[in-house]
Amino acid sequence: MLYPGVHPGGRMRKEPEELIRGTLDALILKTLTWGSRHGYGIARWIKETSGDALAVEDRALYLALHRLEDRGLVESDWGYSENNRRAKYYQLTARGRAELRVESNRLSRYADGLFRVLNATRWEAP
Amino acid sequence: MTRSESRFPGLRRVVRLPGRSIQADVDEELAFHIESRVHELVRQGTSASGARRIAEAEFGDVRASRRELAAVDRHRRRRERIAHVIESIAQDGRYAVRALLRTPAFTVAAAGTLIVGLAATISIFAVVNGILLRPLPFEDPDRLVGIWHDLPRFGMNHVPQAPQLYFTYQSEARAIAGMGMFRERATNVDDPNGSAAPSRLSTGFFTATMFSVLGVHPALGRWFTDDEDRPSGRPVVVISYGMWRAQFGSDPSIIGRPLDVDGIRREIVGVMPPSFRFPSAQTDLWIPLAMNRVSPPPSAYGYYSVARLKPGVSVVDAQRDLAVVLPRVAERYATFVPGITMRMMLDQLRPKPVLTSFRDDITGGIAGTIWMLAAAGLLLLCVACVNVANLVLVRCDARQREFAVREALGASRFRQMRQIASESVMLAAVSGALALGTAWLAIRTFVAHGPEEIPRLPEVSVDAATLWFALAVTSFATIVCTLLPALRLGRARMSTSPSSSTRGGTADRAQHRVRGVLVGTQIAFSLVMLAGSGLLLRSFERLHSVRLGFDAEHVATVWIALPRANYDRDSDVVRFMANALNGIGHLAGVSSVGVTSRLPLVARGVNQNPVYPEGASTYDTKLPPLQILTSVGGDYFRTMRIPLIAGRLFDGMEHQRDGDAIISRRTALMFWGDSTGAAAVGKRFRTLPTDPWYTVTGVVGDTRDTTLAAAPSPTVYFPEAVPRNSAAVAPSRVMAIVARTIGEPASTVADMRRIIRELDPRLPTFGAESMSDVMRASTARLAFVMLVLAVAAAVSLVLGAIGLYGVMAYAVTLRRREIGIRLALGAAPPRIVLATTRQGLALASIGVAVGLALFGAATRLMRALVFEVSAWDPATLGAAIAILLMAAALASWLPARRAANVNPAETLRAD
Repeated sequence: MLYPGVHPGGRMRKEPEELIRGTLDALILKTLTWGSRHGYGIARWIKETSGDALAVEDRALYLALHRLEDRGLVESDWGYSENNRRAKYYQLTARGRAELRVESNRLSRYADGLFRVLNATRWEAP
Repeated sequence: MTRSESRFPGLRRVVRLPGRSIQADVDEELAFHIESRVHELVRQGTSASGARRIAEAEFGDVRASRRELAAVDRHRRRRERIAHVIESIAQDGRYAVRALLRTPAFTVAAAGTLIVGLAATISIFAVVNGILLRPLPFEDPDRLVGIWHDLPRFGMNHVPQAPQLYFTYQSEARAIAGMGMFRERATNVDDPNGSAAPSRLSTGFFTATMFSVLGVHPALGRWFTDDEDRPSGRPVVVISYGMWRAQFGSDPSIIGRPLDVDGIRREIVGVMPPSFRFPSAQTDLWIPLAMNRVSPPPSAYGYYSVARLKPGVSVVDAQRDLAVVLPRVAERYATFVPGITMRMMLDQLRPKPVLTSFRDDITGGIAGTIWMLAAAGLLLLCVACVNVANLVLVRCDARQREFAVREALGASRFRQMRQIASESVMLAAVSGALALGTAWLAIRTFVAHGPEEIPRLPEVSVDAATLWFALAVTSFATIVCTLLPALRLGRARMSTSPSSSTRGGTADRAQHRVRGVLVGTQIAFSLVMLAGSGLLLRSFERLHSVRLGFDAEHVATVWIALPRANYDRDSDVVRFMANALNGIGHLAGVSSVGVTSRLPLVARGVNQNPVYPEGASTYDTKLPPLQILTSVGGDYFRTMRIPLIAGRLFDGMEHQRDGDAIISRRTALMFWGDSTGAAAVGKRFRTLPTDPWYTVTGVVGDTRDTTLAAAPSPTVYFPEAVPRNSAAVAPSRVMAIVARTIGEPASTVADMRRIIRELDPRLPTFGAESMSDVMRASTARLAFVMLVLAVAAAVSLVLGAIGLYGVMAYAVTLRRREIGIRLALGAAPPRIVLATTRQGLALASIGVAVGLALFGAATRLMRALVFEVSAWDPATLGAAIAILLMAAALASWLPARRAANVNPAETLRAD
């Protein structure tokens, strides 16, 4: 099926925060820890869970998903959705699970450091 | 969420469903996303058209996304497919190894057989390739020809070059781009700056043109110039790469250093590359021939020459051109050799130029032998392949039930064939690799220890061509091992169900016939090799029982060469020899000692020339037959135990007189028609019509002098003495001192060398150390070929016997029921044994008959090596056939005996 009349580059009115590089993969992997989902489900879950705070462009999400599959971190299979439509479901592989652990540790450390700096109350000479 | 659609997860990754492309998958996935979003927006109250616009805007560039995602997926698909192929190959390999390990007896037998066959074929290919096929290491070698002459009036073919003819051709022939002339002999070489003892080295005497004709370039320095190739040219020398490395430690500043060659100080001007081994692998030095072009030395046809044809000129054209030019030699040179004018030579000898491909000149002598070995190797490979095919068939029969069960369980026929193929490939690949290693070892050993006379031997190696060949024969073996069982499987499907046993349907019988044919073929090949090695063995035995005419046991030999630079006058030479003989004669272990310019069965020092008996007018117009002219001194005849049959021997060394001569029995018979020699004593002859007369003082027995296989040559012996005038036979300067020893000759040789060193410390000694060594060397090639062929024959005999055993054992299995019934009905076991054995022998007899026909075709290859044995020698053939039939009888008796020992009740119950 094709998409006639699509014009590129549309944006929502209220601009949510841009994602920090490299975090999208971790978000997707995290989404899949509760079981297999299709791409639309992943997008919705991220948006809802972050309270619409994280803007994930759908195109970027799908590209990331397919790349994760290429790297063997997720695998896909066709199944049927809630309203009985054919949909492509993704699920974590063992390697994907391990990668998520590594990535979420890294991001936690990163965020932790970031907050420490931002929340510092006093200047101390190094 | 939902269940997966496919029953076998991951299957989709392997098998792409028909009609579904990657792009379609991507499109469907994206469509699902947009639809879902639209659905949600509509539910929230957005209009249908607005919802779609919003959903697509949220998504981003859908068109670009389609492309990106499809690219990522294609990349993944490709990688997965490669990984899958590798994985399934690895899996097949693992299965194959497991299956092969389950039947170790089969695996070892099949692999061993293949390794023997493949290793033999690969090594022989390396030899054929290195010696016969690979282009000569010269520039454009196909245009190089050797120049020879046929002397029809004289019954001689392929004689080398006369200098006068060479110079005539060089300036007159138009078909030739360049010509060179050379000869090779040993020289005494001494490094004045080195501490090493002087050595006797093989030296090429080359015209300066040789190198441009061959198109070779020195690795270091330069080749000698035309000016240096003149009688009074600067004394220079070019050395071999091997000598540069061994004797001068690869010294880069070697150019300009002095080297004494035969007492003349020469300047080293060049080092040749390691690939240049010409005229022989032993050549270590090249010095200018420096021949006088106006009056060349009177050495008749004593030089070799090589020419490069002009582009586009055929050998036949060039030969015609030379024949036209040849008579002009008489206008340039009046005399051929002293006493014979050029006109006389042309009229009497009628020389005819003959051009041969340079490759044949170098390898022609050995080509027949090598092709024979190649044929033996190929036969062995055939036998091995047939045997392995047979083994594989037996194994297939044993696994018929396994295959049938698998098929019933749903394994596809393709899957089963793939398994058989992977087993065969694994078997052949491992055998091929091991065979290559074995061949590599065999070739190294052969190059290091093979007969030295083989030309281009150091060029034999495992090169790229050999590796390709190894790959090709291994693939061939793989195909043989795969095809047969695959065909078998194809047929088994029709005839075998899991419940049927080997009761013997028609397909089984047909298969059995195929195997019978295979075994018959094997026996035929075995017979060819057995009979061939039998013939060589007989030849070898005949050669060693020929009457030598001398006694080779307990004779020590030491060769010396007295250079003209240090021993200018003939009297110096004679005095040195007399002193050496005197010293050696007084050694404790020596009973008699003599000296000779040539030894029987040694190529060195052969000097063939005509002699003219007195009063024989027939020789006024035609040349008399050639004699081997030999200078001897001391107690040569007594030391060699060559019998005196008439007259007397020469006096002791100091009293030998020029003018006396001893002739061999053949010479006496030839000139004076008397084999007792009595009539010849006192008769006179001369070496040239202008020379002084020699008087026959004695007649001695004939000796086998050139090869064991050739009849004795007529020989004339002159005393090693100072000649009466300059034209007479001068004393020889290259001499072998021979001593009859009481103990082993080896221990005496050291003492003989010491005495020579005491007389002249700068004089090298060389050559074989005893006449027994000479004898061994003279049959080395035959012994080598015989050994190779005997091993091949033994291996093929064993393989043939095993093959026959396999077939007979299977035949007995097929007939178990029948035999059981017969036994139950009261047939005597011996009768059954006899009947079964007879069946095996019948099969073997057919093989023998076919083998005899093959052998008839193969004898042509052996003609050069066989001596005094007819190719159809009944004793040899009879023995070969007897050995084969005995092996066949044994191979069929063993299973027959087992058949007769079966318990009839058990056999019948088993079905």
